[in-house]
Amino acid sequence: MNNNVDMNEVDVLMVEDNPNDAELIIRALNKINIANKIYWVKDGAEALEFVFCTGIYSGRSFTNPPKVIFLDVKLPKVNGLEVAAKIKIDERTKMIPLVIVTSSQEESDLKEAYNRGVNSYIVKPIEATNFVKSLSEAGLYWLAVNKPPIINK
Amino acid sequence: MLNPFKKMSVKLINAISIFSIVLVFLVVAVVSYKSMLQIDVDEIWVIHSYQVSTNLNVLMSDLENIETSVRGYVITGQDIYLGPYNTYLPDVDKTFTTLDNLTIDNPLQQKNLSDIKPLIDEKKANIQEAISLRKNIGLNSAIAYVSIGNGKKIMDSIRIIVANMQKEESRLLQIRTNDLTQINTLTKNTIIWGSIIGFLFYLLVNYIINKFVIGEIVRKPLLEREQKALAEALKANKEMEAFSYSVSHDLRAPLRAIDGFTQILVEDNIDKLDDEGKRVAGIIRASTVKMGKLIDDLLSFSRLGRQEIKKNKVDMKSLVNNIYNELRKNSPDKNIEFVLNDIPDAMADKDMMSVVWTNLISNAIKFTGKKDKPKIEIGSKMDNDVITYYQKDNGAGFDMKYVDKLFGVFQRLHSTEDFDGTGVGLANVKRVVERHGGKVWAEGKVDEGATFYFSLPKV
Repeated sequence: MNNNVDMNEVDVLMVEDNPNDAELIIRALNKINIANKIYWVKDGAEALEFVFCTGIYSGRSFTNPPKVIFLDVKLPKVNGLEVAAKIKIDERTKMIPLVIVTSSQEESDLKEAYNRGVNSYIVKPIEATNFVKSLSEAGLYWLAVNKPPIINK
Repeated sequence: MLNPFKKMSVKLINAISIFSIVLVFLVVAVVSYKSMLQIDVDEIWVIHSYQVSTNLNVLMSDLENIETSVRGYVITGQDIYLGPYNTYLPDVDKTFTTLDNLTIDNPLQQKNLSDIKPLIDEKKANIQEAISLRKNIGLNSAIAYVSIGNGKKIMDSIRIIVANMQKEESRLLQIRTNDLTQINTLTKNTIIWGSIIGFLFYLLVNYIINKFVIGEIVRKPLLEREQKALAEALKANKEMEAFSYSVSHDLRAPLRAIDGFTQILVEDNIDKLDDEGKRVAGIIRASTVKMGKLIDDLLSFSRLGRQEIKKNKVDMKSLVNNIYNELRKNSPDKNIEFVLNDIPDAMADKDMMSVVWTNLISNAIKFTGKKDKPKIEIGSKMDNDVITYYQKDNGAGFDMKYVDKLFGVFQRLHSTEDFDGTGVGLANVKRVVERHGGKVWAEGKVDEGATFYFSLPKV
């Protein structure tokens, strides 16, 4: 699995450290035929570089944000809730739809995530059929049903 | 080691010790004060004795002066010798009155004085006679009068009595001085020993508190011990939270992968897999889901133990009704006779009561599943200070032999083949009810049904 997607034409930025989960998410999204526009980063620090067009992503442009970010909570380097906070506090990025996709059902995580302004919170089901259903429906909703914000060009 | 102070609180022992120490010092203070008053009185008496003694001396010396003065006059016949006589004569009476007043409380001295009084009068008369003889008749008749020796005899008698009086006063002085010394010693001893006893008592009480009350193992200040226990409890709670968080996150991920990739395996190889292969894949997937359920239940059990209880008035009847209706959605085709009697509101945490009823009612639905006419009845009983709620069903029941295993974690009385479950539900019920200060118990008979009871305090 590799990121052979133009980083300025990303539909879904997937922040996920577990390669198994990443593959399952991509397969679920595959069912709705949008998997080729998924960009996968493996930790919070890289996610921030991508979103804020720094480091190896300095070639990216703020005017071409992903349509949605799928963000895990438990991540190496920078934790998902911190990533969410940094994205939602910055004028240039706060409008990007941000969806938490996590194993955690902890009340404290839910509360913190919504406090930081995330747009949705999905708990990854263990059961495979439910997993595919939840993730493909979420992909369909954010990429097809939802109207994304217009970022000033 | 025998511990006689175990039942006494530190506060009580402190109170007693402070009271005792104060008492010791109070006794010291009272004794000292009384001694001081006594010293004052005795000092007055000492001064008094000196006064009596001095006045006796004055009386004697006045009388002697008078005698000398008259003697000079008798010899010379010159008026100038009568100067001292005239001066001291009124003084004799004055001094006598002073002595009379000073010894008014002493019968012995009063008697001595009353013996002296006529002697003084006699002496005065004797002297006047001598003066008068010398003045009116002449030297020879005056000398003849003095030579009879009456004056000297009187004077000697006075001397003897005055000497007795002096002796008496010095005896009293001796007694009073002794008294003073004794009282001084007593006061000194009381203050010194009182302080020592008070201080030793304080040390003893301290020792008792340290040794017996605070404990023989940990001899640290109480406050420090409490703070340490609190810190440890908080730390344990934090560790438990971190552990639960890890479990909920890290243990689920591999399960998700097992189930997800098994499904992919089956889907991608649907043509190559025979029925046995599909059955095996099915077992893998079902076990994975079961494991996920176990983790969730264990986490909920742990959470129910840590979660803060927020007590409010809970409408139990409508809570039960809602939960029953919600649970029936999973098995809408079952025909259950559900009897919900009027049950009183409870003072409890609503979310936790919801856990209790969800577990009890779903159990009842589950275990009546094989009956033709399943029946579930919910009701209550009011006592003085507790409300007892009960749920009775006519399901599979249980053997009373195993009743003590019913509420244990992961304890099951039925095989998962007969009735599915993880064995955490009733443990959760027990944990919630006990954290509310209540009790749970159950009665049952195999194949005839079970009745579950839980009581809650009214307030």
